[in-house]
Amino acid sequence: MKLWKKTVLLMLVTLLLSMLLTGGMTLYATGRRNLANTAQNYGKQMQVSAALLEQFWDSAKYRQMSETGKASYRNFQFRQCCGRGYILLSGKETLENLTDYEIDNLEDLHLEEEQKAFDGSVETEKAGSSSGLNLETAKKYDYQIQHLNQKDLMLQRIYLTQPEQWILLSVQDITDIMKEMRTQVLWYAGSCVLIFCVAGCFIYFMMRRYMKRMEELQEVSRKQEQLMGALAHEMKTPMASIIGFSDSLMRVHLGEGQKLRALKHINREGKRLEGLSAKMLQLLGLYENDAIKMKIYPVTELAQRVMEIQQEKAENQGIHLVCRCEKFRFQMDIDLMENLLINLLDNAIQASSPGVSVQLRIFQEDQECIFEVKDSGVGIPEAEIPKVTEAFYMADKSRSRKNGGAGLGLSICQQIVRLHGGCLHISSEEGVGTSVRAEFPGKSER
Amino acid sequence: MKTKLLVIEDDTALAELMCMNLEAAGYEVIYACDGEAAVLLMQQHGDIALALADIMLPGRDGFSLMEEFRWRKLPIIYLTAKGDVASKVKGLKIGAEDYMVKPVEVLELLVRIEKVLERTGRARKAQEIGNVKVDLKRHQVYKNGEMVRLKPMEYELLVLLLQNRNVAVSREYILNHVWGTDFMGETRTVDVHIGQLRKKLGLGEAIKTIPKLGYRLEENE
Repeated sequence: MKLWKKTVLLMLVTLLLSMLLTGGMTLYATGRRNLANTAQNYGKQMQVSAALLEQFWDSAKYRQMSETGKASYRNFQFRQCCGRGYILLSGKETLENLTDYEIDNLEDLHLEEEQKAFDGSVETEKAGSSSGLNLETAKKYDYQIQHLNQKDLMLQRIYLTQPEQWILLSVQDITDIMKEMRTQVLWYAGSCVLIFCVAGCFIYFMMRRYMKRMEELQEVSRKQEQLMGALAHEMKTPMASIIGFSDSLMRVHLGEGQKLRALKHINREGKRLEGLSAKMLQLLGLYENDAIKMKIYPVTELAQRVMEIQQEKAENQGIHLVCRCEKFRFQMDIDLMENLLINLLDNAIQASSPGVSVQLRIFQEDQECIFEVKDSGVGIPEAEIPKVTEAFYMADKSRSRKNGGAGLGLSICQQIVRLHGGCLHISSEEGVGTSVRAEFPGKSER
Repeated sequence: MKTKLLVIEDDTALAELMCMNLEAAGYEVIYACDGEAAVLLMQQHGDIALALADIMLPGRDGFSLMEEFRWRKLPIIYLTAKGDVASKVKGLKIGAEDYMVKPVEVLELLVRIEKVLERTGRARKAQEIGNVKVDLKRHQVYKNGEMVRLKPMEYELLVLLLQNRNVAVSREYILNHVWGTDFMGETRTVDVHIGQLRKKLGLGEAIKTIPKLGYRLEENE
């Protein structure tokens, strides 16, 4: 996995964690507060009920009653004082039950009162499985919540002082409150997921865009580094030559003729360096895309300009230059295109021997505008064709050097063609000739 | 009779520079721009004393020329841009007398050539400048056929100047090579000895003081 993907993942995980943590804590705190309030309400009610029961209860009378009398007195007093939602217990025995539920097992009930643990559990009589216990402790009003048959019950208990050993158990339905809290959690989770997705997508695409840009920049800088390396290498030879000859002029006792020759060498190598730097500047300038002025020109004008410049050079070398140009208009930077064709024709002329012809053709074919320079010169070995557009590459070093070439011509051509949105095709056969085609997708206008 | 050197180098500018310097230093130089031409020259000239060869040559490279040199018992100094250790080791192992990485200082090149020639017994037995003749074997100096007595250091200095004839030699260089690096003397010592040489041998004109560089023993053609 790439670094930027890891970063995105890490960011998302952090985001998720922070949202879950803060949200969870808030929800937990408000939920607890909510439940504590409810418990306080019901607890107070229960205290009131318990107080009433204690007040109206007459233990002396109760003891004298018969069993049935006891039961009805108890029932009466309980109904009067406590009402629905309460259970009266004596030890583990249910005395009165005014709820829809029945006690199943008191031992499982975890309610604390007076620092004493008390166990118990409640189970419904109608349909019956008890779910997990959820112990909640508040300072004043202790309560326990049980989930039964889609209903949430809050259980609270109080010990009665009179009649002794009796316990009042309050069972209240708090389904609505719980439901509200659950909806809150759901809402929160939903918004969390939404925010997470949106932020995730945003971060991912942003990072991807930046990474792409970064990679492009890296590629450019790598290319420039290569160019720099090649340039340094290319500068070494003329520099060594200049230093060597000037050193000899200084130290060695040379004859007049030799002195002149040394000076000529220095001069020539200096000129070569100058040419090299000029070409480098041109190539570097081509990387800055702002300098390009695209305009629509008739290609015949371009051909004419190029032919005027190259005709003389070709004739000097005894080469016949032929131009065949269709009439159409093309969007281009005419100076750059001129440069391209001159470079290509230079190459062709250098590769040709006197007496043969070099052809420049500008035509349209299958929606493409094609500029082709064809010669019948020495050609390029097949293995070297992909390399010739590399900066400072020379197929025939000794020849190129003699003619003052720096090995940058085709690199420049390639860059010019690329800037015009086209591509450069080179096909060649050794001893037969070379044809270089610059193809541009249909941007021509009649 | 000048010592004949063969230079094999494909860069014409560099080759010309080397030929120029070597000729000025009193050698006869023949030049080949590639391996085949070098072999041809070796066939024509039987009296080549030493070959200076580049390694990266068009056609046959410097290493493959070694066979030809060995067969002719011709000492060779490789003079190349290939500065890596592997190439140096290979060059010396297959039988080169020396291996130098370009760019090369003229003085260093001359010294190394001289050393190789001494080792292989091809060193010049006598050196001449004007009417002064130095018998390198007997360590004797003659002026107009008469022996001149020179102190040891004066003799060494004269030989150094002769070996680097037409090339300017700095005072520091002279100190290091004649008196040795341990010598705690000043460059003034050199000046005094140069003065002695000029007086004793009448080389006042030939030994030129080159401002800021040192001295140069010039040969008038």
